[in-house]
Amino acid sequence: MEKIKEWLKGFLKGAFEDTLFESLEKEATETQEMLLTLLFLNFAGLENPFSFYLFELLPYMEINEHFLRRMLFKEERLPVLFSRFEGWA
Amino acid sequence: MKIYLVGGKGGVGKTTIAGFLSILLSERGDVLLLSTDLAHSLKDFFSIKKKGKRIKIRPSLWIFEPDIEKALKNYIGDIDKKVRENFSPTIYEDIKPFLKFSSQDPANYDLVLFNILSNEIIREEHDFMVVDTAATAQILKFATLPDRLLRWYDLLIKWRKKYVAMREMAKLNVGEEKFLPILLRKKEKMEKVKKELAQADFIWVLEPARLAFDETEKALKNLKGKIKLSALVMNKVSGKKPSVFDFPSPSLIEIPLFESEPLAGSPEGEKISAELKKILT
Repeated sequence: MEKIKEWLKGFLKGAFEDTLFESLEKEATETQEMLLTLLFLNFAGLENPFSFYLFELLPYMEINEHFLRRMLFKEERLPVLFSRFEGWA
Repeated sequence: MKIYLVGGKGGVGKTTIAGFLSILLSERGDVLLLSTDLAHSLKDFFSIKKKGKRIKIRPSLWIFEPDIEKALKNYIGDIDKKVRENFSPTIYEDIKPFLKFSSQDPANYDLVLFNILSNEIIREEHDFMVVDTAATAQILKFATLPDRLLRWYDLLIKWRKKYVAMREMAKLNVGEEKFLPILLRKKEKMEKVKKELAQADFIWVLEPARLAFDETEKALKNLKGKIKLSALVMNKVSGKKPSVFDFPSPSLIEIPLFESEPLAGSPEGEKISAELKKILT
């Protein structure tokens, strides 16, 4: 009985809690990337007159190599990020 | 701090007007005369040979001619250093070319100057600041930047707040939040700059010539509602009064055309100062 309880607990954790945290984490990452995209439009070749003021913020951001690679068009995920602008701006 | 922005088409005598206005103001308090023109001419106006960007020329009058190229290089250089310290070499190598490009991009000159202007406003070391500006586009930039920047800061704050909330929910452990306080501080600073610039007196200098008139008409139209025009100074008026003139202005000041160029300390200066006094009362 205890074994079944343990298994059920593990199953429920895996099925709900972990997926919940995973999706939250994904959402958090996407939000963060959206912010980085706004900050560094210039890096993607889009002129942003404010980037000069935003450079100051650069050292305080959490930037990962994968994101930067995408921003620099080394991977094509930018359109996905930009699609988040829709109905919002 | 009370700010006076002096603008106008090239060659109409902005520096002369800004210079005499500063001398006049220095009788009432501590004055900083700042040049935001790449080709500074304040030292020539005061006939000063002394080197240096920031010089005290009278007991309560300072002139400041910032070295813009150097200021831009230093600004980006500081950021470059911090990025190198905070990130892995791979990330730094990716970011480096962009920073390097920005440190040499002339498009950033006006932004550096606005930064210098903002810092002076925040520091509030002087009672008055007179800004001898460059082109009309620069004043338009100075007048609209605070609002536009504030909108950007709001946008970034919104996304960062959202991220911080998501991060907490996802129980991601990333340590203390440094970014949001910086953004909020920047926003606060810009709000002060916006407030001070909105109260600034804008003095437009022109000469009785067709091109200067046309530029005045266009500039005042563009700046309407963005900046408070407090005086129009018609410089170099000789003989005939200009026929076309219907600019709305609280005061129109006329400065005659002198045989020799009026510089600081010249007898013509007295006449100009007497006219400019009208702006201050």
